[in-house]
Amino acid sequence: MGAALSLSNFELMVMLAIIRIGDEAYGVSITNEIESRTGGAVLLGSVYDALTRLEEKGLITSSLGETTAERGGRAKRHFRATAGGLRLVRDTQRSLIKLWKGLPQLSGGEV
Amino acid sequence: MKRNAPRFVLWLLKVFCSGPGEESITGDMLEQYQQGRGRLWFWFQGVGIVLFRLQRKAVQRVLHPKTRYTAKQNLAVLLLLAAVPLIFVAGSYALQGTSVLPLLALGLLSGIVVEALNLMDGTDRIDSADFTSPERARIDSSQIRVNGGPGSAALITVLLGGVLIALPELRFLAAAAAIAGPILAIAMRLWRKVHPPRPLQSLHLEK
Repeated sequence: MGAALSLSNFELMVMLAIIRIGDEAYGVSITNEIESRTGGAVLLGSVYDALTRLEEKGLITSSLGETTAERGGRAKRHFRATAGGLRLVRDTQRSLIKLWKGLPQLSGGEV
Repeated sequence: MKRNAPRFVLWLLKVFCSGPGEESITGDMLEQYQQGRGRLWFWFQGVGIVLFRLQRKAVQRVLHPKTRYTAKQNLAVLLLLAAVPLIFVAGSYALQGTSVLPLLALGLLSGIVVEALNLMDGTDRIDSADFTSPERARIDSSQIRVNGGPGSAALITVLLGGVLIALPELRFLAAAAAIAGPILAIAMRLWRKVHPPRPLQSLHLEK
């Protein structure tokens, strides 16, 4: 029996960014989306690494898109969440909501 | 107007991100660069991508038990190879009076980070590895899979070489660093042939 799939915090961010962006999700747009939503700097390398892991787990699929001169003739690689990926994100959301529910207000580093 | 991206970073990306579908990574980088990102950004992101790729390749590489190194051996190799750029840098410092300690710190830090990541990954993989065969290790901390010693050394050489190339006054050291890496890697392999690792059967790992 295979181990149950799970998402790391960063993988979850990448999945959510892909879902938010939709058809135009590729390396740069995903990085920009995470940076703009979280306000923190993100290393492109870490995003590509997470994308590779997610694709290996079957949570996303990719397809090559158009090439432009600006990109040195290299194609864009677009990413989409699979049905399994969407299901896992939903399950993760449910789990997190359950964990948050009933938690006292956090203040001053103490619960 | 089309700008020329740093060629050394493009070369690194070509070497380390040349797999199927990976060309898009270079495309993404170039697109951002043409849209106004700076050279420093290109260097930073490019080296970051290479670091992650190297880490991934090192983790995915399944070694035969005979060629598996222990954590101590990896650390020794890492320190030995880190000592080479240290000698060059120290020599440069003594000759020119130039402060090159930040370069040294960069090279050492990158090697240590990669090695630390490998160590952590080795710990994770002990449960998922195929240890069903009796001649393979079961649970022994000295046999945790630790790859990347040579990879880390190459990384240090490449990083230090790259930084030195970027600084014209220290360019002569880049060539020395580039030569020292492969020589030491070959020397290490020869040393391993003369002093092969202990066979796993002699570790008495049976219940």
